[in-house]
Amino acid sequence: MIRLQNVTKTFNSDTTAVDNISFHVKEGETFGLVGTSGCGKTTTLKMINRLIEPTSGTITINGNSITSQEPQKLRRNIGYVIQDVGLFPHYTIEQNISTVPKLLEWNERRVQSRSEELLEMVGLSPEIFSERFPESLSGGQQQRVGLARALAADPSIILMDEPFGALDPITKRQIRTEVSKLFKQIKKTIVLVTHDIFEAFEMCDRLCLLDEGKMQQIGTPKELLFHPASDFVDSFLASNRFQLELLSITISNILELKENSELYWSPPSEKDQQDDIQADKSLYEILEEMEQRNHENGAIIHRIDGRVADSLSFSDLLNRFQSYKKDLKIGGEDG
Amino acid sequence: MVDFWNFVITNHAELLDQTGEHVGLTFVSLLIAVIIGIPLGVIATRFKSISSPVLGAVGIIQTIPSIALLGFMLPLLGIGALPAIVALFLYALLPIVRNTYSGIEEVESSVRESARGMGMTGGQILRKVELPLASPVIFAGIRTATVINVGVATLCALIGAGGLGEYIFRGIALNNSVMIMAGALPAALLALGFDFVLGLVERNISTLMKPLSYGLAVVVIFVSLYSVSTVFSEDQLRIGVPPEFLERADGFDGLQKHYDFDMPVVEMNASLMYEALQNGRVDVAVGYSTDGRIEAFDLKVLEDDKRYFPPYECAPVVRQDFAQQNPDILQAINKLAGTIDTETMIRLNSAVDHKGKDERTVAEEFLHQKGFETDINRQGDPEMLIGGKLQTEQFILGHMYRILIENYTDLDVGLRLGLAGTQIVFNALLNDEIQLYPEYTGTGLHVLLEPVESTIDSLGNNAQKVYRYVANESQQQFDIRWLEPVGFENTYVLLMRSKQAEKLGIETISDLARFLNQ
Ligand SMILES: Nc1ncnc2c1ncn2[C@@H]1O[C@H](COP(=O)(O)OP(=O)(O)OP(=O)(O)O)[C@@H](O)[C@H]1O
Ligand SMILES: [Mg+2]
Repeated sequence: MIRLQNVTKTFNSDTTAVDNISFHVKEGETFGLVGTSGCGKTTTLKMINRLIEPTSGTITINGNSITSQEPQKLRRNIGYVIQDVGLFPHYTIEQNISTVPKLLEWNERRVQSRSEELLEMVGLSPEIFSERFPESLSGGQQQRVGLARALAADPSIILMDEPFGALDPITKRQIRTEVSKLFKQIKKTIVLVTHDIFEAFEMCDRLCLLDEGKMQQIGTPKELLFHPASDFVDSFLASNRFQLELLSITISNILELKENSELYWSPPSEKDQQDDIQADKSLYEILEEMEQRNHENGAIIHRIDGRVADSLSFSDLLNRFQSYKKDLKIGGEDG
Repeated sequence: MVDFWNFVITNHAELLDQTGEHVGLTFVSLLIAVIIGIPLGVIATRFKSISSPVLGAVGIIQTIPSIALLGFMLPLLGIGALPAIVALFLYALLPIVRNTYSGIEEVESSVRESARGMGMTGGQILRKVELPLASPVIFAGIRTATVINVGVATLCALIGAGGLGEYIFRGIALNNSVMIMAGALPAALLALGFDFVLGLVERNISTLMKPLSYGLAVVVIFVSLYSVSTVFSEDQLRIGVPPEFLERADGFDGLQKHYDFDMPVVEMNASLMYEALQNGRVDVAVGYSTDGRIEAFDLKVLEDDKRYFPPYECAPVVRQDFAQQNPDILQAINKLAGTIDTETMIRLNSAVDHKGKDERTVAEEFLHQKGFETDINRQGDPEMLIGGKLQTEQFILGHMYRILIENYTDLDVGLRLGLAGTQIVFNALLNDEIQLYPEYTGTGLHVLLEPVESTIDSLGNNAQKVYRYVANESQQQFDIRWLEPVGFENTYVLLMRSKQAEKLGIETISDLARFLNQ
């Protein structure tokens, strides 16, 4: 969908912010740009909507060069979310959200119903928020509005630069989870810049790790973790390795799931009811929940065709995780 | 206070006119400053390389003292409303340009970035985001500019642009504090009033923004057009009158009654009168018969055929006590008596006004020619002070007296020339701040002594009778002694451009009155 080919950006003819980068973001995936501060993430992102023009190289969207149309036209079809949100302080929430639809000259009715729909979508009640001004909203609420604004004209691509960077850890986590869910629903192609590696692992299908403007590795979180292309990649992830591994390995990875497999908690949180577990849950999330359920007497039950195949305690899970990792490293391909 | 109210009530028509002119000058210049200043501020934000030159330039204009700025306008644009508006406009520029610039610069970069990121064009960002967000700051600049302009506009009376400054300067010339108040108080109230109203607007700008900016624009444009049209209207003969002449007993009111005419007045400083006459801003001007510029500017002196003006023989006046203590000084001064006839005075004046010589050189050369000692030139602390009014010949005479006294006595002499009006100089003499100055008999009669009408009639405008009466009365009433006349007369005259006078067939003031009454 979005393709960068040998893109380089040099500022003031001496700072090379982005150095010969090429990657392809597939339709519907969430693609992360990660790396330390100043490595060129923002610069790369802004070249996609032409807020910055590359010094050399080409960028295409669906095969068309982005320079084939006016930058303003291009931008109206690409959502853009930034850390400081940048809501217009003199516009109401509704007017803020309606900015792009109005630029696209939608009719009044459509603009309004779209804005209400979006507010609902990001979890804000239109009755309460439509007529308010940004200064009366909390940081988290503002970021939700910022998101709604980026989605307003239903662009197929959304660029996000540290969208949750300014939020406190709890709000951040909460919004992140909601947004991940939302994105899965609405099928957008997303390029996400972040220096929070957990965020990247949680949200992104694939990542591009940059260092000093140069591409270090592109791949799924697991590939980066278990098959680092260089010492740099390895050491970049080293300090958080254990948590990242738990994050990138799902429960289905360590169990041999069949067609008729069922996963659920035992004991259930309420009697007579089965607590199902989704197969794509990361081990991190599973262990976290187990902790909350008081893992001493908690377990995960795996049933195939109604018969119990496995019953896994906290330590069982960790053991399986260790042996899965060993296989991964030997196997060369991840499962 | 009672005086003040009486003054305001009797002069309310003129006061209203002046207030109108004042508001007009303020708003016309403000409107232009807004129309030019806001785009200039915007451009400065767009091209960083010119922002500091632009801001620097408007900042430097602001540091020029307002009087000097008005002065610079004179050679470029002459006198009247136009140079005043240009000067006020230049003054208003700084707060408007600077606030536009900083108001836009202060818009958060994230707001601008998201606007760009959503696909707004440069123009849309400016109109929908930057200007609305900067509007409180811009408005504060406009408010500052308004208040500055109300203040500076009082000075515009100096270059014949009218406004409340007219009363202030006339009041200063006549040493009349009631009159000064009558100009200053409304000016202060205007400034406070505008500040208050604009302050209200500023605080509510976001809600009032749209209706208000349109409303304000319409009002300002109408006020501006109206006042421009009144200031520049050209349909009638107009007379330029110096402030003092408007108020004197032998001044303009009396002249109009005596000749039975009525014509619109443009009040202006005497030194601007000739230029105003030449460039057609006025058609008749009140001048002095000894002025060298009458000939230089090819002006017609209208004959005072009904003998309205009294004789104005020039003679030095001194304090009685001073005269008694210094008989040698009287001797020195009296050497000049009878030596300068009217022709000569015109010649000396024009040497200064037209040939650009300085008064001191002209005085020195003349005395030298006449065979007087002129070599001594003392530099010590002055032991006496000679005063003088704001007229070229008074400067020349002041220097002549100083030279004579320094050469024929042991005294060191200081000068206090260029004082702004008869009342001011005369009061200085009464208070012993100066000891001597040249005065005119007619002025002594009408301005200083102000006798009843029958007395004036009995003098019959006879030069000797007037001199004797004025000399006697001044001695009795003020302890002031008139010395022997210098030899020339400097009477008020009405002047017209020779060509226009010829065209309209006007030779005398009666002709003028007849023409006006047609
Ligand atoms: N407009 C600019 N002019 C000059 N240099 C720039 C400009 N924008 C970015 N740079 C430089 O380019 C490099 C990359 O900047 P960029 O903003 O892309 O980093 P980043 O990865 O987004 O960093 P962070 O995580 O801190 O936001 C930095 O060295 C930065 O100083
Ligand atoms: Mg960045």
